Amino acid sequence: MTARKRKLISPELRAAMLWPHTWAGVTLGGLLMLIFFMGSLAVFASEIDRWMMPDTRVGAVEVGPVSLDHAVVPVVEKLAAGRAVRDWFVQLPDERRPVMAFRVRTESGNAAGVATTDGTLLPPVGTLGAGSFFYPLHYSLLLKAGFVGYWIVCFASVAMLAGLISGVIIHARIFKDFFTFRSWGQFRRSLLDLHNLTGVLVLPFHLMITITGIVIVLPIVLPAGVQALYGGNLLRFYDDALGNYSRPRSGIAAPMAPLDPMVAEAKRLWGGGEAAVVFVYNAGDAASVVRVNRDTGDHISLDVQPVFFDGVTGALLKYQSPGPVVATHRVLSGLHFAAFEHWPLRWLYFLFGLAGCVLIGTGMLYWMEKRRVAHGRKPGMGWRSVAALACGSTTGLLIATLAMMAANRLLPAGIPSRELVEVGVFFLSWIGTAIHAAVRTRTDPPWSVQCAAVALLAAACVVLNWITTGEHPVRAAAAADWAVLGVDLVLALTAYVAWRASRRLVRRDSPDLSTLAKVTDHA
Amino acid sequence: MMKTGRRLETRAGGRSLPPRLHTTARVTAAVFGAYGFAWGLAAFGAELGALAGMAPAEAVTASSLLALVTLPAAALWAFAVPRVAVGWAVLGGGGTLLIAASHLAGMSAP
Repeated sequence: MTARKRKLISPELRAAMLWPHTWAGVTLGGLLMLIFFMGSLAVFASEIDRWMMPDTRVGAVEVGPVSLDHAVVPVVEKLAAGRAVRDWFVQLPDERRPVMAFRVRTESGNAAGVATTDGTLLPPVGTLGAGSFFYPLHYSLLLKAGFVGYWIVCFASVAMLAGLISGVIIHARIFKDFFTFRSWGQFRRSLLDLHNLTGVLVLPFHLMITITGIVIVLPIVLPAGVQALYGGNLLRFYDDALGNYSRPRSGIAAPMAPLDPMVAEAKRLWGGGEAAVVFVYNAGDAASVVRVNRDTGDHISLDVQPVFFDGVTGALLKYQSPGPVVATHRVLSGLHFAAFEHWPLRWLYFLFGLAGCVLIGTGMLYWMEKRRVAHGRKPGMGWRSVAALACGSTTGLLIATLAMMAANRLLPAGIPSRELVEVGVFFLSWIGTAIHAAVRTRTDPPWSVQCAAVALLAAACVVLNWITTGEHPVRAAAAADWAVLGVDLVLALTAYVAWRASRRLVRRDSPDLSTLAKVTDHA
Repeated sequence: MMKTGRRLETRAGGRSLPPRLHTTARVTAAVFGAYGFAWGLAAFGAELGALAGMAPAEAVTASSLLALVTLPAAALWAFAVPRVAVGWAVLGGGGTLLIAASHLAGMSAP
């Protein structure tokens, strides 16, 4: 077995894997860091949203049956403000989001709003929050046009997969080094150990999360099969695969049937569960369609089991379970989404996602330290670019995120396009950190200054939340507001760790090149 | 960067390409060659599945999932294969053949 394995992974193969592993990491590391970090935040998007939208902290509601006809439809009419409604949908409240979220498309423009379960419209949230900013940044980089963002993210994800596989091949003595962590030794050695440790320990998760991430949008980024069997018509494929239903507007006005019986019928068809989202297409039209999605909190699969009703008669139009392969695809997608109700697993997803950031970050740092030997004390442009990129995509990304959260608490409620100002703060501070890193990188990127900025901003976020909402951690704990308490505690922990790191980095001697050069080379 | 390129070159025993061009050939084979191969596999597999009587959505999903698994492996193989020309021939040529085969299968379908 061992002999065969040794033959399978020859020294030549290991040497050949080093080049793509290194350069995929150096070129795409910053992008992957963004994807992994925002993905980790997205696990707790609902909780961060409560923190960033104080008006929606209405406390735990008994998630009883919300009456669509009594509590939801009046809100839609209020949001439409007299304009004829075309389509709308409502996200019904759940354990983590005690409010209803609305999107309404009218004949002249769109409207969105948030309401409590009794149908009271809350003031505009004035932020995209984690659900509509951090999360889309994770999967599409906010580049929606032509799915460009999906393509870039999936390209980086395939590179990540290749990096993981080539990493295993390079690091063939995987189980021997599994227990190796020489933090007392050379700095570069311990960086490599940490890189290998996170790479090996969290490998199954990283493989799973990366591949399932691509799987979700696979028909978009690898549309070969859709091209072959559906003439490239993606919508027709999705209608077929996921049991979707659509029909055009008829232009003949017709009154809507009550919605509550439809939801009850959907629940009967599911044999349990709760409705999560209700869509009404072609509202007020004879060709109106109502779609009821199931909440996926009680199963892994992302299959929302959509049930379609005629909006005028209330008759069932379509309810089709997917075939076995599509069902498998839904389970794989669900593994990535982690929408199921399971708090320990949510924390594991969050921590393992951050471990991915550690893996990518230590990889970039290791490259920098190794190259330093070759470059000597005056590193060249290439090295400095990578160093600035590494700094901008780690501490810089944290600073941008925290600056946005601080701006969220500081900006007055009434200012126009408040949510876009927040986004502007995010990108301007990110660009600022990158410029700062590029300018200040001489022998090292400005790690300690940026770590200090992270610490100050994270601490400021906790304090600002306290001042602007009156909800300090103790009160949040007393009120059992675990979402706000959790975000505050993670912010406080971030502040503490970043401050300690900053202090230690200040004290760290500049690397002694003579000893660095002596360290045995890897692979 | 070039060090590895040269090492691969000597291992191949080849004279041929200068290092920079060699590296470009490797990277493009890994990116475009592997994707073309995966595309061919997904297209051909979908047609084959449909011919075998699978529902179209099932055939598309199954073949795409299979192609996705081969994609990173094919990309890495483009770096591992001693001669980059062989890598291009197998990935690019294989992808082209698979796409052609999928068109043939599509034409023979009712």
